[in-house]
Amino acid sequence: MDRLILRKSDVQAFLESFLADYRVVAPRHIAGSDFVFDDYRPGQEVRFDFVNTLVPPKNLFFQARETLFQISGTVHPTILPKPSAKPLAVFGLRSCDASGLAFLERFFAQRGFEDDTVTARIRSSLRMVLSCHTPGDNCFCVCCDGGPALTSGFDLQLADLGNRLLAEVGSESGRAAVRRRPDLFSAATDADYSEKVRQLAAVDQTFNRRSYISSGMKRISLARLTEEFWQDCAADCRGCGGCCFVCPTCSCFSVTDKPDDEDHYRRERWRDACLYEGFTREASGHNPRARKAERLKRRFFHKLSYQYVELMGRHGCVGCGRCVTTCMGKLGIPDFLARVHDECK
Amino acid sequence: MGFQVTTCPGCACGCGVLLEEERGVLIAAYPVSSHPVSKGSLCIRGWNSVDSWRHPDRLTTPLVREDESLLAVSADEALERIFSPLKEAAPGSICFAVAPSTSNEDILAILRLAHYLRARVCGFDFSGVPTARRALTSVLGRHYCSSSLTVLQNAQLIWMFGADVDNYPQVASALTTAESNGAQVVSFDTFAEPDKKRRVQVFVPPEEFGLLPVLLQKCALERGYILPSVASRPGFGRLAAQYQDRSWLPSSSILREQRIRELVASFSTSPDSAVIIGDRWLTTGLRALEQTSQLLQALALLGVEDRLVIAAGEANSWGLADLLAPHESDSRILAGLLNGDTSDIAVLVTCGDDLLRSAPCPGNLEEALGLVGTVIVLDRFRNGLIPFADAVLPSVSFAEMDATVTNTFGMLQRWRQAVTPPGEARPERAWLGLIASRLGLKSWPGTPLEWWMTEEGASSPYDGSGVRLLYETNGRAEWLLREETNLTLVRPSGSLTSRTPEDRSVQAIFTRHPANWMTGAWSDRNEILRRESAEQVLGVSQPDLDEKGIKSGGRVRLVTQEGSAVFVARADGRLPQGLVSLAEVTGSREIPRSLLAGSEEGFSFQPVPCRLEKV
Repeated sequence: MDRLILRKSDVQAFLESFLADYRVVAPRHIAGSDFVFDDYRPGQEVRFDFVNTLVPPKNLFFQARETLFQISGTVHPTILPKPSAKPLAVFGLRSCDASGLAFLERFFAQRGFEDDTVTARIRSSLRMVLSCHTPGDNCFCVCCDGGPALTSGFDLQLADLGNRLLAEVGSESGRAAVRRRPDLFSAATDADYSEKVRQLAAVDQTFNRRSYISSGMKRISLARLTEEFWQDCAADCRGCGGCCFVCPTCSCFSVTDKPDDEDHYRRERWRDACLYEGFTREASGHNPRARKAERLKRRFFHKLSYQYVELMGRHGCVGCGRCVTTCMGKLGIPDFLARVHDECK
Repeated sequence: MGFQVTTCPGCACGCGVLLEEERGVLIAAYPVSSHPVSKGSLCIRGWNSVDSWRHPDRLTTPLVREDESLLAVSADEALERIFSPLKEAAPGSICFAVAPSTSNEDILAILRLAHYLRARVCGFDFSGVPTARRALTSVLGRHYCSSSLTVLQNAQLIWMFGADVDNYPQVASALTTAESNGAQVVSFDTFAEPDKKRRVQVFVPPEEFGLLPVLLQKCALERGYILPSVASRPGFGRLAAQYQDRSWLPSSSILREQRIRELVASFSTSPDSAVIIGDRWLTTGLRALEQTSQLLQALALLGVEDRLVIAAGEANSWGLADLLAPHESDSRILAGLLNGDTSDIAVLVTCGDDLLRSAPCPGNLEEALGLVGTVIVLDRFRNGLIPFADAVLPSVSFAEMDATVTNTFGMLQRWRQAVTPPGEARPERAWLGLIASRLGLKSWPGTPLEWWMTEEGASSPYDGSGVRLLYETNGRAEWLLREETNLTLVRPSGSLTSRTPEDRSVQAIFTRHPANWMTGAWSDRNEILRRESAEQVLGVSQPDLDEKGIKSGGRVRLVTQEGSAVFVARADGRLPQGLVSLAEVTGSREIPRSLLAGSEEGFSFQPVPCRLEKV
C-alpha cells in the first residue's frame, strides 16, 4: 500500500483539484458540536476537529428522497434519460461510515436485483477516509470491525499527524486522485507510519463503550429471547424510526408513482423505517408485524443474526454510535445488547 | 444541497431540527445533537416534519367565494374582497382566532391589526397550556415550570398526573432515562399503561381529578411533611388553619386516604423527586383551572415546585398564552362560538390551523360558522374551514419563514427559512400587512426582529435583548425567562366531586387521537385520521365489551341524557372498566354540548355519564 504525506494546509488545494470532475463533499460546521457532509465550496475551511456527523454520509448515496426515473406520455410511455450527475468525492468519511457504504453497496446489488442508483454512486465515488484519533462518547466501532481505521474499503485513508496527514492509497481511484496534484504529496517515512500505529493503539484505550455483540448475536440468532423481553423493549421504543435513518447500514425505503402533470410521471423513492407500522402493512390492510415488539424483533434480527451475516458478509452494525445518540428509549445497539446480556444472565 | 438548523413544529418540546434542502425542495429532517432539548433525538413527527411541506392539500393561491364555490384569484382580488367586511364591521365584532402553531411574530402582527380594528383576539389552544399558565401564575406567581428536562433525568421518584408522555417524546425519553437509572414512577391517571409494568399506577376517576390534589395537601399537612422553607411562606398559616376543620373534605371510595398518605410519605422522604403534569390532567375534569391550581399548591407544599415539567401544548402554545395573556377575556368569544353562539361576531379571521379539527365539538362549531357574516381563513392547507370561508389566504410552513416560538420551558427559539414558499403563500404577518396597508395603517414592521421593537413586542413578557441576541448573532437558543416562585395559597371554591346518576354504566371522556403519534409519514397519518373519523371510533375497555357482549369492531350506541350516537367500538387496553374514550378527531355532532364544560376557566372536558348499548 502506498503511503504518502499531505500537509493539512494543502488539503484545500487538493480538494479543489476535483471540483471540475466531481461533486466534492466535506464536513461543514452547522451548530454547537454538529457537522454535516455538505458540498465543498472553493476556499472553504476544511475541518478535522469533528468526531462524526449525526446525519450519516450514506444520505449522499442513498438519498432521503429522490426521483428514480421520470416517464413521459401515457399511451406510449417513455422513460426519460436521467440527468447526468458528477461522481462524488467525499472527504472526511469516518471508518465506520466507509464500512457502512460497503455494506449498502452489497445490499443494493444482491440477489440479481441491482439498484444502479445507489451502487453506481458508491462505485463511482472517491472515498477519502479520515481515521479517528478521538472517539465520541457513543462510539464503539472497535467492537464491530468498523474502525477506528480500515484495512480496505477506501480510496484514500488519511491519519491525522498534527499538521500533516498520512495518506494511504487503497485503490486505483485513490492512486489517480493523488496523480491530480502529485506536487502536494511526499513519501511517508517508517516513522510516520509508526506514529499512526501508535495513535491507533492509544485510541483503542479511549473508547467509553463496549458492547456484548457476540453473545447478543448468538441469542438473537437462536431465538433465545422471550416474548416478554421484546414487549419490554417495545414499551421503551418511541417508534420514531430515527435509528434506521441514522444507521450507515440501514436501507429501508418505499416507492411511489406520482404525476407531475397529465403527461409526465415520476417514481420517487424515500427513506422509510422498518419500525413504522405502515412499513409492512399490506394492501389488504393486513400487517404481518402490526405490533411494535414484532417490528423491533425484526430490526435486531436483521442487524445481528448469523443468518444475515451469511447473506451480507458481516453483521449490520459498524459501531458508529448514532443509534445511541438518537434513541429516546435507550435501545441503541450497545444498550440493547446490554439488555440482552442482563436478560440472559 | 443545503442545510438549515431550525426548530421542530411538532409539539411544545421544541426540538432542534436540521432540514436538508435540494434545489428548493425539502428532502429530509434530522436531529441536532448539540440542541439543549433534543440532544440528537427526534420523535416520529420531527423525523417526518417535511412531509407536511409537500402535502397535496397545500394552499398556494388565494381563494374567494363566488356563487357557492371558491375561485383562485390574485392577491389583490382577495384583499379587495376582504377589505369591505373588515372596514365596515362594528368595533368589537371582528374576532381573530389564533392557532398555537402561529409564530410569536405573527401573533404580534395579529395583535397590532386587531388593535387598529378594535377587534378581539382569542387563541384556540385546547391542549391545556392556557390552563397551566393561569394556574402557574395564580399559585406560583410565574409563567413556566422547570427550565429543562434534567430534573426528570436525575430524579429518583417521579409523580405523573394525567400525562400521556408518548405525545411529548422528549419527556418520555427523560422518563426512560430516569427509570433506567432506577427511578420509581407513580402515575395518577384514568388511563392505564399495560406495558409499563415497572410503574405504580394509581387509578383516578376523571370526576375525582379535583379531589386528589386536596387529599395530597391534607396528607402533607397532617403528617408534617412540609419543608420549613414552605411553612414560612405567606399564606401558609391560613391554609393550614383551613385543614383544622376537615368536614368540608369529601370522602372518596376510590382514592383512599391511607394510600395517599403512603405515597406522600415516600415522596417527601425521597431526596430527588420530580413531577410531570400532562395534558389529560389539564383538560379533563370538573374545573381544570381549579384542579390544576390545587395540584400546584400541593406540590409547592411538598417543595417540588422547581422540579415540575408540563407535558402539554403545540409548537407555540406557550408563546400564544404569553402574548395573549392581556386578552384573556376575549376567550369567551371562542367559547361562545364553540357552543354555537355567533351573536357577537360579524367577521371571523382564523389564523394558523384548522379550528374545526381542534375543536372538541366540531358539530356545534360548524353550525356557528354557517351563521358568521364573513369567514377569512389564513392557513397552509385546505382545512375543514374551507367550506365556510369567504376568502382564503395561503400562509407558510415553519420551514419557509424566519420567526420565533416558545417551548414548554419558556425557551424562545428560531424558525429559520430553509426554502421559498410556493406560489402566493406568505407569512401571516405579510398578509396582515397588506390588509393593514389597505385599511390605512401605516406603521408595519418588516423584519421579524422589528416586531419586537413595536409596542406589542416591547410589552410582551420576553426580554428584548435576548430576542435581539437570538436574531443578530444567529446564536443558540437562550433561556429567557428565569422566574422566582411567589407562592399564593387558595382553598378550593366548590364541590370536589361530581354527582353521578344511578343508572350510569359508563362515563365518556375526550382524549387525543393516537393516530397523531403512531404512524409514520404525514400522508399515512391523514389517511388514518380520515378512516377513524369516518368510522366514529369509541374506545371501550375489554371488561365493558365482554359485559355487553360486544366484539371489538362492532357497533355500539352511546346514550346520554341529551342524545345518542353510534360508534364502532374498539377495545382499548388502557381504559379501566366504566370509562369510554372519544378521540378528539371523532366527529361528535350528536354528542351533547355539556361535554364542553368550564369554558369560563379554559377548556376542560367534563366526563359525561352514558349508557352503552349493543347495536
